[in-house]
Amino acid sequence: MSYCVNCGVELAPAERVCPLCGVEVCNPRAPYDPAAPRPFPREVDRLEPVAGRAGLAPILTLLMALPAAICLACDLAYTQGTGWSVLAAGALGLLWIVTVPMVLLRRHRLLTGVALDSAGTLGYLWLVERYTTPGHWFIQLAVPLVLLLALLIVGDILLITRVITGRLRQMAAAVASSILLLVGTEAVVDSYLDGRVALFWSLLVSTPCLVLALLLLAFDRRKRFKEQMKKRLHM
Amino acid sequence: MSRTGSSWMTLDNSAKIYPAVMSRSWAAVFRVSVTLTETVDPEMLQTALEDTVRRIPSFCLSLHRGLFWYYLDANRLPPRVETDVANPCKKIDKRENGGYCFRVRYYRRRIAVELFHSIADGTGAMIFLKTLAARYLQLRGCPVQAGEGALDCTQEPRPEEWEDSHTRYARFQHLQGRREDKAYHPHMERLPSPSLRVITGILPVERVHERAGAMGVTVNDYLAGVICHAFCRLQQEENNRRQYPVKLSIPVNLRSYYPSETVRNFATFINPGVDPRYGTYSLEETVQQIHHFLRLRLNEKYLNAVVSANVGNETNRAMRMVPLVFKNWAMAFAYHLYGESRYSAAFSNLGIMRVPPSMEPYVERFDFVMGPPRTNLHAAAAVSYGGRLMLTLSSAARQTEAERLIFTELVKQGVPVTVESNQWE
Repeated sequence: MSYCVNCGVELAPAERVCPLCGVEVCNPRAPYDPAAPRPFPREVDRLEPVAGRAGLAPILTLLMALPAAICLACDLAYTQGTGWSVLAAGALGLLWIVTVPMVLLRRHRLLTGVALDSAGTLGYLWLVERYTTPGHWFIQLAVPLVLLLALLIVGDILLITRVITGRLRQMAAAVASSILLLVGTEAVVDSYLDGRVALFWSLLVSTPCLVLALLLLAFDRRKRFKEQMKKRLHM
Repeated sequence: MSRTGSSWMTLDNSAKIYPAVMSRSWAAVFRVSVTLTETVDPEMLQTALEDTVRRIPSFCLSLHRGLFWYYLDANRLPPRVETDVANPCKKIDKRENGGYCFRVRYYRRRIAVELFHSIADGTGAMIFLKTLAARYLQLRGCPVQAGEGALDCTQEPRPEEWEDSHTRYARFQHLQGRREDKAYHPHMERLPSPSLRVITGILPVERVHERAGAMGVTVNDYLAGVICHAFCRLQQEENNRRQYPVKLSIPVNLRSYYPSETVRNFATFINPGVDPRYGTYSLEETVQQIHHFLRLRLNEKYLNAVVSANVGNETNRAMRMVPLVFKNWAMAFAYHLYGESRYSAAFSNLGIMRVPPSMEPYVERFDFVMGPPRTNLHAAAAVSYGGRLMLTLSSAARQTEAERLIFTELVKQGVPVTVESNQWE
């Protein structure tokens, strides 16, 4: 019989190391015998793989495809297809793009999701322009705004999850990206309406945002300040 | 099999919570096993199992969803025996074993029964195991008689064996305000599911009894105190800013208070422990705290009030009309709030196991393994037979500090401990 020199427990003959602390059995009079019967076999029982959420995809597809097909059929039958059904079917298609890939994707769900959602939104907006108010707003307004928003979301996610560490710095990055969104939005709207860019309201809103971002960065560098805040605000 | 004599059954009152809180990888599964003096013959064990499920038909059922409640329905397929594995108490998957809520495994000289808690409690499982082992030995030609919990497979099952004793004995005088503080949970890394570390300490009953007697408590109180004290030390070592009470969840076998013969669940739980926020408790103080807490609670009046509160929820007309899916959400939420968060570990002691005298020469030992609770990491189970107490600590944590503290405390107390585990490396 062997005892663990660390725990003081007697070890069963099948134990090569103490199961409590991992110290190896070292007993010259009774060395570890690999042939000693073990209390449990080696085979491990694994979990059966489950269907997961992928099984939801055909159900969601059916739930969206059915009303879309009914709308298109009714529209064709009674009004010879004036477009309302295309918009309804397009809205359902957009809903499909937003939901189903999220169910099917296992990795990179956020980035792929943003890319697909942007493409879907642009497609739906194109349909709206095509069937309701013909003009140039889709190219000049919708495309730049959607792309700007998508780029900023992807950039923020990458920066915050992979590059920037520390909660205060991450918050500063998020505030800074909101400045870009505001300025970019005003620039796109101005160029669509007047053909030239004259920033005004976005700068008014961006100034306090910039101050906030700089304050956050400054707070992040002041360890004593952070300690003081922790002390006063701890819960 | 129900009151009307049909082939299906409702879940008993204790069993209702378990399907609601099970997840894809976890279910409340525990295991009882018996080690015989000779190697197990799988074919004969299979025959013995088929005879046993005929004698105890409440095991021969599979779990199904109804609109308002889960129910157990007859299963036409025969249950199959399986070889044992290194990680016991894995969730029992309906697709794996013909829909049964239990599995029978064998390894060398050991027969093990693992079962989902919705079917039976520890005492019910032991009745099933003893009946199975007795039938197996009879088929091997051993002159084994029924008795001491081992049922006679030649007799017909009796309705008392599958009754819901909670409903039968509840007097519907509810307890009000059973609020408890959140308990301490060790900060440890979880093993990937369905891994389970099992470390069994073999202790001489006489010595444990002597130590417990020296403190003026029972063996159950003493072991609960040692486990509780180990978790207190674990919390001290973690040196957290905020301290929490250290409590154990201890099942109480209600058959000791009522003349029930059910093989299904008939138990309730109480959570004794100590609160380190009041100061550091020594082992003796912890044991005494648990002893007095249990003496205060373990009386028929209090236990009946606890059971009545649970039965009252089940029989409430408004509650009964709620569809199962919403009941599941509500029960899972309640379990999250008032279940596992209120205790640090589970500890169940089946006490001294007795077998018919004619069976004693063929039985070497009994073991009891509890699968860890869903979010908590540790569970302890004890059973005594033949002068040895098997204290099995099962854990889903990568670290073994809790187990080490428990067994080294026993060694310090002068109780010799022999440990064995399911580790291979």
